[in-house]
Amino acid sequence: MKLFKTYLKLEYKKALQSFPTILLGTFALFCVTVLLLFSWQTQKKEHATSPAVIGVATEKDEPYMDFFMGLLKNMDNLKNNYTFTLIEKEQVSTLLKKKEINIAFLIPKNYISSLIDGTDEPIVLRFSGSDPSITTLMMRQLSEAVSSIMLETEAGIYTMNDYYAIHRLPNQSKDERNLNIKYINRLLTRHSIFSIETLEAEQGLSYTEYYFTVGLLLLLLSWGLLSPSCFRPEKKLLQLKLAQSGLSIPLQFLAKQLACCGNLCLLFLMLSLILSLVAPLLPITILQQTTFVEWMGAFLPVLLAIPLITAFFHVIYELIPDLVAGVLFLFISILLMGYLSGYFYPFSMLPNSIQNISHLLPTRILFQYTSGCLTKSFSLVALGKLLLTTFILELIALCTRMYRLEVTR
Amino acid sequence: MKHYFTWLQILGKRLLRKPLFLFTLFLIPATVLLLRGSIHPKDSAIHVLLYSDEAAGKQTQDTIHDLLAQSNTIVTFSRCNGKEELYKQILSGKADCGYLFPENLDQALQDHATQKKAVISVVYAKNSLTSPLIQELVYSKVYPKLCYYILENHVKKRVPSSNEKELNKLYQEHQTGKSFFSFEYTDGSKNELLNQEDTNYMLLPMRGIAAIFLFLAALTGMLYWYEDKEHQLLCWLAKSKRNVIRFFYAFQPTFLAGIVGLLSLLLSGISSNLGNEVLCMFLFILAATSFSLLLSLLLPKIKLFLAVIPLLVGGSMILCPVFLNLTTSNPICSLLSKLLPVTYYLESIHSNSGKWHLCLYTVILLLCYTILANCVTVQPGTFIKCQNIQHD
Repeated sequence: MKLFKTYLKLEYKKALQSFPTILLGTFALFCVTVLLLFSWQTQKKEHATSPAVIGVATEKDEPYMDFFMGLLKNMDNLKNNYTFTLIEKEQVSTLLKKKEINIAFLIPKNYISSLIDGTDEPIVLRFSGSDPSITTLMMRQLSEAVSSIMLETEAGIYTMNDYYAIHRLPNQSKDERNLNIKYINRLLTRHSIFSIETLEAEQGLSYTEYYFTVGLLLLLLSWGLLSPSCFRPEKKLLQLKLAQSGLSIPLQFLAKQLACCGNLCLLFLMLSLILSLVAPLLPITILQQTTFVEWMGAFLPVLLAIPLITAFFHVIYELIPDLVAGVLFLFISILLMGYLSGYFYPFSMLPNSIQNISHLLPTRILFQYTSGCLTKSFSLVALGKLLLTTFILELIALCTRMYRLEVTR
Repeated sequence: MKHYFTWLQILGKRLLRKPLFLFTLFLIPATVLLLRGSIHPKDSAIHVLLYSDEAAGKQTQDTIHDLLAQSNTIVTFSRCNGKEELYKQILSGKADCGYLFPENLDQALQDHATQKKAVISVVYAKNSLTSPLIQELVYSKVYPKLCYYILENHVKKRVPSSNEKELNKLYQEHQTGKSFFSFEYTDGSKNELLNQEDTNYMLLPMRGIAAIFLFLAALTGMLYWYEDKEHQLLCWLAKSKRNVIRFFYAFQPTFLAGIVGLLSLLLSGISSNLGNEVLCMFLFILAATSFSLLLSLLLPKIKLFLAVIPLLVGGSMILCPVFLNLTTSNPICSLLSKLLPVTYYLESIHSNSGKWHLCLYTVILLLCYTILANCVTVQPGTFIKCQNIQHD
């Protein structure tokens, strides 16, 4: 027991050596995050709408373009995401390259006529850069909806003109203008067709809560990249010698685990303290908590997630003790597991098969537990899953270590 | 020259003889294969439920059929058998929103054309971001009928004796059906990915993920340099040679990650033509290597270097257009992203000016490295230590 205590002390001292690196890395990440949040907050105050600009390029006398622009500019739902502007076709490439516009809609010459003739000239959507996000695909859906509305409106007006011409009715141009106004009015108030009911979803985290939890977890998981030496196993020879002198491999493993876990817990407590002090002073609402005590109350149960994070690091570095390969493997594990656990896109957007698999991933289990703690919906099931996963990961790490040493012997 | 080639060989062997390193490299193509098979035809990013009574009229059924037919990998519409089931699925997060259609949509739309009464009930979770988009899609499906009723009312007011059948026939003649879209990149080349109806949206960020992985490989490659420097394995080399060999340390893992990244892109189906991909990847390998070299020169201690890795990798994930493009909504994001090589790589794929920017970025980094490497003085004591080692 005495030997174990001495070894534990030594391991803890070793773990503490990585403390400054982790602290420095965390501080740097923290500063950048605050800078970005601050700039967003300032920008929100300056501009009511987002500056993502969509340029609509068309021929000068293209019919219905004013109507089309009016429709786009008045899409209330899009106001926070896009602004629309009319541009000339010759400017498209330059403006896209200069990033003055983000997407260009290129309307072909005599677009409406081409559709009536059946030549079906397509509208071209040109993107600046290779925007890979899912919002690009949503833009496609939206374009189709807007275009369909525009074509139907134009069909209505053409029908009226034809009907008036066939029956030689008077006041055609005046009535056409009135019908146009009716359509525009109807489109501007189009949401009156829906009666809306909103529900408090069971799994409904607000987007701020969701991404705050994700940010916190990614920060905690990045600690494994900051201090690989802290989690990597000792040299095999040293481990065998220690085993010969009475400190068994499982005890060595336990000491390392306790030391690393203790170190990370200490760091997390420091981080929680800083966040709890800073968060109530911020002008934005991140979580429901408003006071220092409430924030600390939310963070403290998250301490139970630290053993799982440590176990995760241990498994990776036990499996791949090499420095470069280990860091790479840890990073790619975090990135891919995080992606499959809904860290970067909302979880509900993932395919069903991925959703089913992700419940087994440590990153998803961590998310479920942590989000529960932070949003005052602590769940014993999530805690149970967390503890079970920690145990399984520790067991894998220990077995890997013992297997490696057995092979060496 | 032979000397450098030997170093290149030694460093290459050091990496290639580690099966776990190779296993790590192949995790990205393996994930691509997993994701390729993960999308079921019924899967999509947004799930919308549609409900109507069994006794609903033809117009209601037709509109629902239209919407069901519009399902793709982004939005899936599915019919729900009961109102309770609809609420249950939205509450549990299985569906994003639900639309309850009236029994007689035709009559409801006719009434709406004159009275502006609500016709369709929408149910969605409080935090839903996607429901406004769906609302526009559903509206576009009911709009043709509504548009006709507005026209009919308008004409009837002017000409009470108007012929409805004739008007309807004329209207149908003017309906052009679906409009067509074509998607292009900045340089005007076709965006085949978006032009497909069944795009696997899970594979969209794969290029960015592969790029960040390559960037990390360049950074971690330098960790061997720090380790070897600590063990004084390099001090017998002349300073000029040491600077070239330092390049190999970062280049080797980056090159391997580049090959695997290229393979992943080809497997994912999001790649452009091979020549363009190889060129951009090669330029990016050089850029990432140069970045890593310069950083290792600026940060002499391994602990400092390790401290900035998560910052750079995390920064690349958030600031570069990998998962979301934040540069458009925040000028500071845009500015900070310009410091990272991943941004230039992602921009270079479909733009010639992007390729030139990537080249310029690499040249600037290499120039800075060369100038700084020649300016940095040897730490006092190192030379004596090295001499002693050589004597021993």
